[in-house]
Amino acid sequence: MLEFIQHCLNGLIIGGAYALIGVGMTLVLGIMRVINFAHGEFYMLGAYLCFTIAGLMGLNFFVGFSLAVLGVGLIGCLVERIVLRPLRGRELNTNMLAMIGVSIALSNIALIVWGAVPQAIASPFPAQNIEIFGLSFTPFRLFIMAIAIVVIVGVHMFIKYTMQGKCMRAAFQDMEIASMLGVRVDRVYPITFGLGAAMAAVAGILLGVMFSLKPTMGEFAVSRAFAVVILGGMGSFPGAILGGLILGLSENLAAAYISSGFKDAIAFMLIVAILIFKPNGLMAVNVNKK
Amino acid sequence: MLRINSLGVKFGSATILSDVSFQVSEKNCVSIIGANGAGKTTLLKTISGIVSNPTGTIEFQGENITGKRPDEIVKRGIAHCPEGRRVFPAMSVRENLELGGLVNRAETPRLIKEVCELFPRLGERIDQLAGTMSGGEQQMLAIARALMSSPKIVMFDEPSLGLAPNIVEEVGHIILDLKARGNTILLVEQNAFMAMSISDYTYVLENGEIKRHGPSAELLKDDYIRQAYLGI
Ligand SMILES: Nc1ncnc2c1ncn2[C@@H]1O[C@H](COP(=O)(O)OP(=O)(O)O)[C@@H](O)[C@H]1O
Ligand SMILES: [Mg+2]
Repeated sequence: MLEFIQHCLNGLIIGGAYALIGVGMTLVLGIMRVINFAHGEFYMLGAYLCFTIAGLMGLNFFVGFSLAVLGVGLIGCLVERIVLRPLRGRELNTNMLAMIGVSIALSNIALIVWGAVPQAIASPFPAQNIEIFGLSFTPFRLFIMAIAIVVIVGVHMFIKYTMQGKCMRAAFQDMEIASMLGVRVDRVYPITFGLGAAMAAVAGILLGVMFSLKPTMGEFAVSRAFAVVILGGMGSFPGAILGGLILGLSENLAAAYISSGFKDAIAFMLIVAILIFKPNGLMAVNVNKK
Repeated sequence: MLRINSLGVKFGSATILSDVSFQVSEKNCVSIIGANGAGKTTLLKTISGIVSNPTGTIEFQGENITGKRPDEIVKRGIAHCPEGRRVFPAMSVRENLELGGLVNRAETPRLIKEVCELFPRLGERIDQLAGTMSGGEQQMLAIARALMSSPKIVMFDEPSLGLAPNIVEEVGHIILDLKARGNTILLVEQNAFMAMSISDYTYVLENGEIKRHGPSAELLKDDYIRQAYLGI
C-alpha cells in the first residue's frame, strides 16, 4: 500500500511539471488563440540556458534558474513581435505553420550551440532522500512540487487580480473594445506569449535536472502539452492542471506496475479512453466564444 | 471642443466617409443621425483611433489628435460607449468598470462609487458577470464604463439599439443628466426622433457624407427629415 502511495505521489510530482507545461500552452491558446508548436522549444531553451549559466559558467543553480526563465520569457516576447505580430488577424493555420517553423529553427539553433551529446544539470540539493510518513522523496522532487504549485497559483492570481491580467482577459474577449478603453493590445500579446514561454522554461529546468538535456527534448514536452491541453479541455486552466496530474500519475503507475518501456503508450491510451467518454476534454470551455 | 475637418475613411477601395466636417462645442449635445450603413460607427471609431489612416483632421481642445493611439485619445478625455454595448461578458461588473478607468487608475475607487450611485443596479450586481445581465443593465454598464475615464466628451453609438421603449427613454434621461452635469455629448443614432429630442444640434449622415445639419428643434420640423427619418 505504502509503495502504491509512493508511486502515486511520484507521478503527481512529475504531473505537476506537466501541468506547468500545459498551463503555459493553455495561456497562449486561450488568450491569444495561437496553437504554440514551439512550446516544447521554450521548455528546451529553459533547460539549456540554466545548464549554461549554472553548469558551464558555474553560477548558483537558483541564479541560473531565474535568469533562464527570464531569458526564455524575453525570447518568447521577441518571437511574438517578430513572427506572430505580422500574422495577427490571419487564419489559425498561418500562425500554426509559423510556430512549427519557429520550433524547427529553435531546436536546430540549440543543436548548433550545444551539440547533440546529452547534457545534465546537477541538482542543487543533497542526494539523500527525505522520509515523510514512511514515504521517501528526493529533495529535488519536493522542489518540483513546490515550484509547480507556486508558479501555477502565482500565474492564476496574476491573471485574475492584477490590472495587467485583467487587460489580458479583456483583450482576449474583445480586442477592439479593450484597445478603445486604453489597453495597449500591442503589449498584451508579447507579455502573454512570454509568460507562456517562461512557464515552459520552468518545467524544462525542473525535468531537465531529473532527466537529461537534448536539443530534441522539446518533442517530449510538446507531446505532453498537447495531451494535457486536450485532456483538460482546450483553454481551461483547471483542466490543464488536472490533465497534467492525470498524465503524470498514469505514466508513473504504468511504469511501476505494467512496463516502464510502455509507460508512454499506456498513458496516452488512457487519455484516448477518457476522450471517448469526454470528447471535449474534462473541463471544456468554448474557445471561440465572443 | 471637438472639431472634425473634412474627414475621409476608405476600407480598401470602398469610401466609407468622405469630407465629413462638424463640430461639438463644450457642454453641448450634438447628434448624428443616419440609416444603417451610413458610416456612423466608423466615424466614432475613427475619432477613437481604432480606425486608422483617415484623411482630414480631428481636433480636440485645439490639439490635432488625428492618428493618435486609442489610449492617448481616451486619456485626453474622449470616451466611447460602443454600439451593441460590448461589455466584457466573462468579467464582473467591477472588472468592466476598472477597465473603463484604466487611463486614470488612481481615481478608480472613487469613480466606481460615483457611477454606482448613478446606476444603483450596477452597485447591487458589482460582482456579477456582465454577460449574465439583461440588455438594459448591460447598456448602463457600458455607459458607466465610458464614464470611468472621467471624460470631457462622451460619444454614444446607438445607445437605444435593441432596447425596450421604456429603457430607451431611461437612456435618454441619463444622457440629458450627463449633459446637465456639464458633460459634452456626441450621440450617434438611427433612432432619429430620440436623438433629435435630446440634442441641441443635429447632423444628418447619408452614405458617408453630411447631408444636412441644423438645430435639432428646427430639423424636427424639416419636411425632408420628417419623411426620411421620422416616417411622418
Ligand atoms: N471593417 C470594415 N471593412 C469594410 N467595410 C466596413 C467595415 N466596417 C464597416 N464597413 C462598411 O462601412 C459602411 C458603414 O458602416 P458603419 O460605420 O458600421 O455604419 P453605421 O454605423 O452607420 O450603420 C457600411 O457600408 C459597412 O458595410
Ligand atoms: Mg453603427
